[in-house]
Amino acid sequence: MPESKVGTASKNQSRLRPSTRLRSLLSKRPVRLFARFLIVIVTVLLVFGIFHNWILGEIGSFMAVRDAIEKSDLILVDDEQGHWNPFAAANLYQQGFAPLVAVPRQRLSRIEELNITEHKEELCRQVLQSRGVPADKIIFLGQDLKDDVDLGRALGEYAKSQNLKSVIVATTPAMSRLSRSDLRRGLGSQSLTLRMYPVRTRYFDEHNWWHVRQGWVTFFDAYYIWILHSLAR
Amino acid sequence: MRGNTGNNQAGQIRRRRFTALLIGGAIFVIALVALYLLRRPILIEAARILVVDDAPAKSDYIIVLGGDPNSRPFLAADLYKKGIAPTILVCQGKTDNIIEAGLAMTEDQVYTKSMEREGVPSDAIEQLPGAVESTEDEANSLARFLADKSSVSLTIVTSAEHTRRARWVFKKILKNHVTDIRMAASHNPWYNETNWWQDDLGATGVAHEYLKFPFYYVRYAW
Repeated sequence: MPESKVGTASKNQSRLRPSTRLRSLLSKRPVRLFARFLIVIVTVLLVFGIFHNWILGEIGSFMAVRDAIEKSDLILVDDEQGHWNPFAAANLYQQGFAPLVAVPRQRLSRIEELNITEHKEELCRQVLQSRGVPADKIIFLGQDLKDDVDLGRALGEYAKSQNLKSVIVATTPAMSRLSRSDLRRGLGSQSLTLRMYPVRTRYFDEHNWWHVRQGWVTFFDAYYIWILHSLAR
Repeated sequence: MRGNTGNNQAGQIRRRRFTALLIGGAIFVIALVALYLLRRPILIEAARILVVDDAPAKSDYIIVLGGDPNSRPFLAADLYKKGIAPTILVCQGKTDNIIEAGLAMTEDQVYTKSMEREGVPSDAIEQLPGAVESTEDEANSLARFLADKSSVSLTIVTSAEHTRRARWVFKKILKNHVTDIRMAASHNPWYNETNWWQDDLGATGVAHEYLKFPFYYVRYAW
């Protein structure tokens, strides 16, 4: 090709309209794939940016099983995670939702065994009594309980012996789904109605957990342990 | 004729894609089965990677990090009694409603009481100023305490799975004050590296480290 014609061709190419250049660029498969990937990422980020409050709220709400609270036979303080639950259990008792409050006897930690700190159930009893629950209305469930599955077994035995039909479980928002599934696993085939009552802490609940660092940790733990228990235990 | 060639080519491409998919699927299934069969050594190694446990040596201070009152203060007391350092530093823990109601102690009070019970004199325990919530807070609290000191040697007592990240954070934040950092790994009585996944505390402890390490790395890498 004569030199002058080559020059004209390259000039023509450089004079291509931007839309034509873009089309020729997009005709290459890797570029097309990358563009699609970018569009998906940007769309996902945009959707998350616009709806993040709703999305994170739904993630939290899934874990927080909140049943309608009705008169029941027992209030169970599931206090593995929150120090707030005995306070809420005492309030429920004062409102007449149940005639008894049950406190689980969990396995003792080293500092409890050495009497460096108060035993958890003793602490719970003190809170309940300080909030107006009479000593004879507080019962202790089980012995050396490792988790909520153990607690479910202990609850099942007590419910059978006392012919209980329904229990309000004062738990934390993040742990209520996990607590319910573990308690049910421990109860086995026994039919006992569990009414989950997630107690809001001072710092966060299922609607605003992402505002505080502890909320992220707690809800991560809740999902992680829930999946772990569902798959492996 | 040209149509037939085109059909043959399309058929060949489909067959090649199907074969690639089949091989990929088989590799994936074999990898899953191998992971399942080797899950125990993999899980043990996953926890061991996180552990840094140095041989004890004389230091200026022992600092015991907050988070596990069932193991850390006991190891700190043990090291003190072996003469590793003349002072144990404790960080100030946060509070909650049971503590505010006077029904429970703060974590630093529990630590102090545990160490005193194990024979550490109260004047050998010093509290660092400012409430802390994280490893980063603890390192910053110590940096304030050591503001006018340099060339300090330190033994850090923390849970085994927390040692690698703690060492990394303390080295970054205290680089102007501390010349020698030694890690002392304490073990929770309920789990260790060989069974951590069977206990909720162990499972979350190890998972937290794998999540927090990249976060801290990004934050302090530069």
